[in-house]
Amino acid sequence: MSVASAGVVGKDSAVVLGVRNLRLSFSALRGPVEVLHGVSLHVRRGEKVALVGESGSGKSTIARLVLGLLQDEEVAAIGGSVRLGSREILGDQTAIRAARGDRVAMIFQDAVSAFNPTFLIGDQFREVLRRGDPKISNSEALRRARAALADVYLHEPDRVLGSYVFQLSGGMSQRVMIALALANDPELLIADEPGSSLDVTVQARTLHLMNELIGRHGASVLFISHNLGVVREFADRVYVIYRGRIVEHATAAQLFADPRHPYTRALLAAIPKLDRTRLPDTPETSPSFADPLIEHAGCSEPPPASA
Amino acid sequence: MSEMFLSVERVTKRFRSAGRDVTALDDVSIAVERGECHAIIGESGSGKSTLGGLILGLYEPTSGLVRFKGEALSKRRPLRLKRAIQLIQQNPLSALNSRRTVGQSVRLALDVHNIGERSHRGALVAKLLGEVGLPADYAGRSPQGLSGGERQRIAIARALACEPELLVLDEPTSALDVLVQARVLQLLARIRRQHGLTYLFITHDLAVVRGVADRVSVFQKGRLIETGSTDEIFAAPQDVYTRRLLAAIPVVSEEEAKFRDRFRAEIDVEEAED
Repeated sequence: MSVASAGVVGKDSAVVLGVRNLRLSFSALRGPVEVLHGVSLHVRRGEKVALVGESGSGKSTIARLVLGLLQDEEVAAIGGSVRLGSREILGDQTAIRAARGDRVAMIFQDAVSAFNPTFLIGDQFREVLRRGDPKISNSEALRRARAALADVYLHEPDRVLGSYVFQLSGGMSQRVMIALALANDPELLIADEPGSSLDVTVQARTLHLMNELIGRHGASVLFISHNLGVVREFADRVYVIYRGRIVEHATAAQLFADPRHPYTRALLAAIPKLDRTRLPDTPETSPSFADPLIEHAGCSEPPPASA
Repeated sequence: MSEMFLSVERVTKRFRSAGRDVTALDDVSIAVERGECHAIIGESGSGKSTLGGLILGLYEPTSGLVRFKGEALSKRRPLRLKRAIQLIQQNPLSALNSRRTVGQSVRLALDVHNIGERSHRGALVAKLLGEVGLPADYAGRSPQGLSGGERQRIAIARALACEPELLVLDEPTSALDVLVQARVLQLLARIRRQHGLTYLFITHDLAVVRGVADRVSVFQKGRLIETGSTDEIFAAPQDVYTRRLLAAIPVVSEEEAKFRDRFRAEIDVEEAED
């Protein structure tokens, strides 16, 4: 495996996000409920990596752990490792808080509820820019906010900045959120079902825009989605997660040309196809869905860089 | 002399919202034949759910007429018409009363419409649950402890309890995971065959439409943009908006991408000509 990966790993193979054997269980009345059973994944610099699975698979939970949003839950038992660059952050809330909104940013499914409804968009922009540069002046913040909105093709930046989120359309608020998430040039962007609550034409435009901006900012992306079609268009590499376990790991090209895990195959078979007049087959849930991880050639994590 | 099963005749519906008149449907006419699955396609704000609401009697048209087997449908309608036209919603949890058991919800439909001998209704509930692939002991359970797919099956069983002729399905699988969606779509297809039902299938998902529908009507901003057989619409969509919708769909295979990218290419040409 490591021999095969040597050819794929480029010069700039630095791992921006490294998740190792991440475990999570919640204590419930009847005993612990295991949510994540030892998940490992990584995102290299400049890569767009998708984590795809159904509801309840644990995909959003991983994002919440990376952002430090579950660590304060008393009923959660967490194990394993999450590294941002070379820094371990899983048990270090101070480090996570320092990184959040600056080195790591997040895009949510529902842009409207991601904003504070009682503050103007402009105020929320300024606050985010202050996370990156605490001494930024109001006029400099305004200048950068305008530029960021121009980047997402919002042509009336002052109207947007002077609005509350409810005054914007769903597609507009999604764009504003993308602009805001990228405002501080984060190294890692976590996108949880971006655009999936939008209409298809708006979603397509939003994803296109996100793609373009990520390229320009050089951000790496962890892209969480249930939609394999979106993943195919967007991601370089894909992890398929089923009930808290990664079951298949491949480049996007490998996964869609040659899906190998029974669960991935069932998912792909179940999707209605534009070019087929017959309804998709209805695979039954099978014990083989829990088969061990299948990792395609060239995908494994590079060994940690030795000094 | 054959009359149309369902016809929407020059219907306009305006709502008053925030002091403004909003035209949700603008002079729309549609004809649905008995036994067909007619898909209503559109994005949010297209008026597709308003159309369903008019057929179900949730509102009265501002102008125009909806006819069911020749008979004008208004908001106030006899029980037999309410029974004949049933709704399946996107979110089955909000469609089911959480204070009733599954069995009580299905049974209520039988009681309201006085279907079957009173003493046989318990058995009828079990039969209906069986028909949607659920064990009979689900009758005693609360909808809250069930999965989205199971709830949608119960909503289907309750609609079937009324022995309907027309089902209005408003995004019936949009909130479901893909494996569950596939099973529910199969179930809906089987039920339509077995009961000779007519479907008005409201959705934004064109790939689903390709698999389920006989005819398609495309809506945009309250207007009917185009209508035709599913084969016609997918082979040669006449309106640029339909091509845009087709072109925007994320796909999962090379063959599917080829199919879709034909529409992308057409749009690029049109935009270049503009």
